[in-house]
Amino acid sequence: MQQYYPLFTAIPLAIAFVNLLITKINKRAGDYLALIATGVLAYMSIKMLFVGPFSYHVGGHLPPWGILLVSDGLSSLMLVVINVIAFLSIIFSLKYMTTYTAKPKYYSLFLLMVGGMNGVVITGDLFNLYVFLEIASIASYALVGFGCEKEELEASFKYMILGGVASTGVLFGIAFLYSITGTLNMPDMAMQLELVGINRAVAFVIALFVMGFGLKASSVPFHAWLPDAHPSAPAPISAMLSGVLIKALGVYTIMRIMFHVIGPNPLVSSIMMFLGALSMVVGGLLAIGQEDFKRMLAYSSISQIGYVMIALGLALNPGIGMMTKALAIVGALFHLVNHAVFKSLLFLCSGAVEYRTGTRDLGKLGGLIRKMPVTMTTCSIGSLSIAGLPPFNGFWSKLIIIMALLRAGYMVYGAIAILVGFITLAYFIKLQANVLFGKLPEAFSEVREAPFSMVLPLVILAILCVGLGIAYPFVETEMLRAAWDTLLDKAGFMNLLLGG
Amino acid sequence: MHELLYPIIVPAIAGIIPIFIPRKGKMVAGIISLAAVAWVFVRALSLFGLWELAYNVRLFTIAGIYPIDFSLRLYHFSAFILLFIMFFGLLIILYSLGFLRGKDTSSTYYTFILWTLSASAGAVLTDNLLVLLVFWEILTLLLYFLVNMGGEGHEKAAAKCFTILGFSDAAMLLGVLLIWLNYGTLSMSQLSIATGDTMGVIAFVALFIGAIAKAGAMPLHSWVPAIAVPTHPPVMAFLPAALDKLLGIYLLARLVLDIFIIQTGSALSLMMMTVGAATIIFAVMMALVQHNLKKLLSFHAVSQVGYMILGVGSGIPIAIIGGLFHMLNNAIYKGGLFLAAGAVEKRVGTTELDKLGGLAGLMPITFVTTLIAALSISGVPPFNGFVSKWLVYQGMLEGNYMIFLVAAIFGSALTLASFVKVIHSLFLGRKPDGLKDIKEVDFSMQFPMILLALLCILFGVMARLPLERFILPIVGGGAVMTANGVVETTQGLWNPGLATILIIIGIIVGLVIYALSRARTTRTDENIWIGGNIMDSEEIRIPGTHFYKTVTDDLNPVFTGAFRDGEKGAMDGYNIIGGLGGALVKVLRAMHDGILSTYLSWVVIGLGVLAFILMFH
Repeated sequence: MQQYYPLFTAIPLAIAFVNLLITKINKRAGDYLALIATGVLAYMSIKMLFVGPFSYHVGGHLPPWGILLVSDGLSSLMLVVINVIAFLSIIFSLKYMTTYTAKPKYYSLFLLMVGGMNGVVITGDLFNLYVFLEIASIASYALVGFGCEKEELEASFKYMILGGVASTGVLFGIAFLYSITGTLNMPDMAMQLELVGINRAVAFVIALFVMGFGLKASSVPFHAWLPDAHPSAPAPISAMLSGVLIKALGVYTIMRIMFHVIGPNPLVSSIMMFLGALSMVVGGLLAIGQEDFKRMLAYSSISQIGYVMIALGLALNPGIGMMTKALAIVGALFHLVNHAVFKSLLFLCSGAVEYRTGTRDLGKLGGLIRKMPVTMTTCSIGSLSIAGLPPFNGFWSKLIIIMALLRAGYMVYGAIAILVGFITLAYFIKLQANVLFGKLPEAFSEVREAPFSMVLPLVILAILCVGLGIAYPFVETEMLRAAWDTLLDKAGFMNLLLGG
Repeated sequence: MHELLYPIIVPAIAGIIPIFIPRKGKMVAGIISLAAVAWVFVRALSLFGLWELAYNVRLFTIAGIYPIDFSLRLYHFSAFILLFIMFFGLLIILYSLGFLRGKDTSSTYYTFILWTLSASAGAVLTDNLLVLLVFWEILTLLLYFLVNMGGEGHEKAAAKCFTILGFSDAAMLLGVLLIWLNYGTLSMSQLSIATGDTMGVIAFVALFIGAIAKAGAMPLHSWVPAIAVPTHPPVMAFLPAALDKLLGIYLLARLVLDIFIIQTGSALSLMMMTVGAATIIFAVMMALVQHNLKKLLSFHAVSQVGYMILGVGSGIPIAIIGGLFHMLNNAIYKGGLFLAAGAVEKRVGTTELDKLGGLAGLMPITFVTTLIAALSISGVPPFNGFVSKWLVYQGMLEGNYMIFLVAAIFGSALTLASFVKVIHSLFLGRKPDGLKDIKEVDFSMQFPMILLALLCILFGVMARLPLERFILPIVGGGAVMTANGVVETTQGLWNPGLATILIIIGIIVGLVIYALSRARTTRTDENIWIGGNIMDSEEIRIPGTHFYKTVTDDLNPVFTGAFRDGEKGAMDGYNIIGGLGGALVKVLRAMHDGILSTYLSWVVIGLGVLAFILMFH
């Protein structure tokens, strides 16, 4: 597998360009190309789970001069999340995107975004990370405005401006780090930083990174673009944005840099925990007040990312015991995976509902369980998972995060996490009461089940929701174990520079 | 497979079958379910003979640190609850066969019933608090789905129900985790937590919330009346009336008797007794003024929990016995009452008391069984409700809790008054003109009602039987039976004279209220003349719902205001919290004005603050 590692970015980037050329000749070709490309990527990512850590030197140039690609437990986990969800979103798009024009351009942008995210995850070079981050971000700006309606363009514009500020901050931070350490290679930089320590310049870099990556991860108070951008995008893109993009560009980058490059630090830990708690509460409360299906989901993403952030923040505290750290990281990673699954499921459900009924206004929907039983059952499973009900997957990840918080002595944060779990339940009950149950409006008496290509990814994701919950022990040993060992092993990451 | 796994796994697997049976064939689904539960019931009977049985398997360890044990423990208490869970499951499925015929309900109804049985069995048998919590939440979830299968307005009711129970489950989660982290184990039989320190009290209160919300006590009761009207009556009889009481009070008893050390007369004990007494009085008053049979019954379902909490919370052995016996008795008669409401709904199509009357001749079986259950719930001897209430009264006397005793007895009197109204409006009174061709329900629906009514009599007349079999072993050596069938504690400060007098006073109060309101009732078969016009007979028919207008209208203005607020739900925590949360959400929404420069300023200010903190810390 090692020699194919660069293909994770090469395939989507190449297909993105080929697609535009071929679809000039044959319009249908885009569907097949995108499907095959993402399918191959998903397959490769699953295979990668079972390959041990290694580093790949692009062009054979040795680090710290050549470009380094890194594969370890963390990147494998992220690759699976990105590529599997991308594959399912593409299946959903086959039918759904027929309601939009310029389908080939959509596929190309989609693949660009996937390529950018894969690049962010596999690279071991900070400048490369920035480049891929920009590729993915710019593709997502375009995709948010893909519908070209007034609101979509406005959302896209806001997203672009705020995202641009974040990217600038990140670029500044990278420049500062380069001036301090004289290298862009992440393991090398980690070694140099150990000699320098956390001086004021590094502290400023941390602030820039927390803002920049925090904005990509939609952490409060940098979250304001998300509730506009995610609902405006076409449903499969919403699923990609909320399910994957904010994690690959935001959470993953914070994890990689804070744990491996800069190193755990108590102050960063308390800042991240505070921002996480703030995101949880603000996002959760705002979600209750929403009347738009997708907007509610978007706010919910802010809230759920808060859980991941608070747990990661906890694990960044060098003062707490190894066991608690492990618990926090397992919770964060598992919740990250779970959120990718149920949030993309819910966004795809909203897409299926909109496809059939033409609205996503909660006030106008209702009683759809009779008309769209499969879609609505999966929607119910997704809602219950995210609300943290057993036996679904969200229950375990929230439980572990709360346990870690309480064990570390953070009683207030633990209580907040439980309370937000309840708030989440409250708004997903509202969602279900307004969409699934109640009286079917007259206008929808002719509504039918969504087409097969849209139902299929929903069912797969719903099965994952149940499966990841019931098979938690398996998930922990096969998927999470390697990633959490990686995160806690900074020396191991630095050794990748020499070994591999 | 281990013996203890059958009650959990068999209904769970059997429950998968109805999913694949279309709506039209739901009778088949029901019969399959009936067979499965009957088999488990027989199994539970044989389990009941065993005294002690344990099963343990380590499921996994979280993050390689925390083991999760799926441990089950059968002993007389759990075996007793398990037996009655399956018993009620059997009756409800049988009843549902008839009730759902001709209704547009999906076969998955039976799936949810079976899964509820499976989760209940798990909750009762498990010895691990986290596993208990998992089953507890699954039960909440299944109740939510069952309510959502109901009639008009179900989605709002289900949402309210799930929100309140979800809150209590969240509280329980906190309690369970605190216990785990502070006391190092989740095994219920190994825990013995002192309630002297803050941690112990927080953990106790958190779990107490979980127990009483499920049982439906104030202030977390409002989900029961909320779901009463849209939900199918068999579901009401099954969950809020029977299973949720068994489970909630089972957990409460485990908390008080096993997991925590609660001193009699301690602040926590008094807190529980206050919750119990307040629940008895306020809920029964709300019941008194209801116009819908199902809603009225639901308030009684709340009110009766008060006796159980009062008894169990007092920590006095005889009162605990009374409380637990009342749990069983309440499940029996309240189940019977809801099933009767279902029978009326099935035949007449409404449970609005104003529109009913004179059904005694048309539905004699329903009438008699309802009458028996109504007398039981009102605590009239010789029915079972009397025996258990009597035991609770004795406990109150023994502990010298006069105020709680008065509350309990007064509550009983009001219950009687309320059921006088029910019996009158439903079965006596004058038949509204619209009610014709009403027949008694099918035998599959009659049978559970008859059986429950017989149990009301049996457990009342021969109270020794259930007490010795089921209840006494739970409390252990604290109590003995005397020859005349009365339970007496070894401490034995029993004062039958005072309790008897108070009971009689209670009944007199009930009769006085009844008599007072009768004076306002006009009953005539003649069409009367007003101002030279012959009035339509339907217009002058006075239904029983007017009995207690005195209570709401005339007593005094403060009281009346409280009733009106109560009706509107102003005292309902659900609405209060909802309102507060709504205000907070409004503020937050106003901050998100959609203007880019606002958002940009947040980002810039955020960055500035971060940089300041990080650089100059």
